[in-house]
Amino acid sequence: MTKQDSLYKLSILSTAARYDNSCSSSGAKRESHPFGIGNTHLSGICHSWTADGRCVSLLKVLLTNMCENDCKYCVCRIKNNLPRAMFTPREIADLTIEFYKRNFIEGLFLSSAVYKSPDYTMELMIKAAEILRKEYHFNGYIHLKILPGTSKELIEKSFELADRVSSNLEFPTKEGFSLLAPQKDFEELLKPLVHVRNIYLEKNKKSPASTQLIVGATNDKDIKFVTLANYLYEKKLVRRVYYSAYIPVNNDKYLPHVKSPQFLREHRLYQADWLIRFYKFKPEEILGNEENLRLDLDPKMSWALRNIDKFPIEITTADYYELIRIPGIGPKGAMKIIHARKYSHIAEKDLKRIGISLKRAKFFITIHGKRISGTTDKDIKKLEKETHLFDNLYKYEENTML
Amino acid sequence: MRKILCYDGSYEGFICLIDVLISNYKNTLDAVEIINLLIEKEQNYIFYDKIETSKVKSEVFISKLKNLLPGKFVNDLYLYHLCDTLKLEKIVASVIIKYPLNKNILNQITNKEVCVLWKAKRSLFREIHRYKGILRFSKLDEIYYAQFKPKFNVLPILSKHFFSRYNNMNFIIYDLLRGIAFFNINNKGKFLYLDRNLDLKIKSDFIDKLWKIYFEKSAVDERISMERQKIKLPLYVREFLTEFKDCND
Repeated sequence: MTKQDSLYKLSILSTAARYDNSCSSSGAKRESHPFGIGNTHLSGICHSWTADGRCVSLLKVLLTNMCENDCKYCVCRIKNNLPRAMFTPREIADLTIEFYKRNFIEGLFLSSAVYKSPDYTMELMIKAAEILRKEYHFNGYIHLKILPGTSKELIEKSFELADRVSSNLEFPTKEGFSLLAPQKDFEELLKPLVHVRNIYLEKNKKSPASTQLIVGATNDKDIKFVTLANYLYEKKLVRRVYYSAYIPVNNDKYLPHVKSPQFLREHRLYQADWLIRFYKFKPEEILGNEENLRLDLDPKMSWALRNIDKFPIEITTADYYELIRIPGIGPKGAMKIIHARKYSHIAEKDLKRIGISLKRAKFFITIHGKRISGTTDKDIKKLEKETHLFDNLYKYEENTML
Repeated sequence: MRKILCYDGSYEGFICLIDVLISNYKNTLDAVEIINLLIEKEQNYIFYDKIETSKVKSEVFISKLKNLLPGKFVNDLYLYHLCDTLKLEKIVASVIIKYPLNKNILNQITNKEVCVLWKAKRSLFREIHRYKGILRFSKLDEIYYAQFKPKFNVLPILSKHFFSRYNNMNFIIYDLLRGIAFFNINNKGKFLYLDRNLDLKIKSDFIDKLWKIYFEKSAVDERISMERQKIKLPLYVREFLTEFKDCND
């Protein structure tokens, strides 16, 4: 491959891969090979941050952008008239090694458009991973995308070589597919995740899979996204769900007209996802009676305001699960509070000193039975204007004082 | 009267200094100023006492501390020594002095001094983790070379990560600020002190150019936020990042 070829291919195939939000390199433990190169880091390592502020951890490229499918939202759709390119498996393996040696990346994230058939393309992707693992003895991180319609044998081969595999479910409902991706269907995309989960369940291990949902390309409400994510986590089908705000790259009558992508909505969905995974919230707690998450408040604050009767929480006696429900206090903060109060008297300045942000938490806690400074009537009234729910806080306080 | 104590910045030197502080300046710690020669220049000071670095003395003092203090804190002394730019020497000495009177002090993260040590350790690990990602190697003949100016003396810990990751690759990592280099040649690791003014002219090659192209193409236009990028990659770390340099190839 000439230098010009490399530049051309990399330029096209990395541009096409950038809409996949997955960038994680965590969750894998692999030691370096005695004759090879590379290992993995359990917590993952970020190697850079692009101009859009997203982390670069892996070499995220497509094998090819020559696609048989006509998904209306996708930049690679067959109808699009754009430059097309294809890497050979060896080119991908060589590029990965060269980047890895310079510490540019943690490993490879390889996805692809469907060229000829899903199995044909998948075999080429697997070949690239095989060259890395078996020829170069590369023990860095590899993430392989499983193409819709790939056979079971190739799925199994994929996760033998990769640290993570993923299948993008794209939409939370079947209607989304019939409208925007008629060649795909929800069941077909879910199959690889179920297959990987079943094999890993036998091994008594967590499934090394993830998925991505597009936000805002269909009329699906947030409740559909949150419920689906909760289902996927409960059934241990994925370790992580990624959300990607729909960015218009094509013109089609079935696509929504968006002035600007729904990045804030995407952010709120990530926050809700976080609450499910690390705070053990249920979807109905996150959304209450609403179908969409509030955009003006984060989901935890929103929950707290709807459940104001559960506050204030006494910080010196509350258990871990009570503490992490306080807006502004996360798992790490809760652990710090529990540790600090075990060995010394705890005061407001101590909370600040150990890094607890009181900006939001101060309205929901008491320390030794007293409300914190900065939560005067004036401050609360200021917040009250933003939401009538703070009325309940006053009532609750009056009741407890009586 | 103000007293200036000077040490060589090594771990043994750090331990000997703590020993001196506890033995001779127990009640006058505030009046002592510490100079770490690894990061500061000696000629800036005229009147100072130089702390003699002795491996034997430091070992004796460490074993004494192990009988007095919890093992974890004694092990952490190495980490506090690595946080050299934070100047933790007097705080460490002060905590050790206070320990016999308050045996819980090391667990009291709300204590001002303990909190400083605890935060320093956290910052050190953060810096180590950051450089695991943003240290960049360039190819110099058959050797890969990386240079950087970390906030703390992270090289002793960072080198272990790269030694294990690039076990079959010959490489050098050079801390320009402290003049310490780690060499891994034929799978043998070694630390050496080099001239701090050493400036290797590193030329970018075609792989660097490919990386730059990849880096630029990966950003989604609609998401661009230079502020977010600046938070994650502050300007002071960009000096050695290939993606922010001009590529001539």
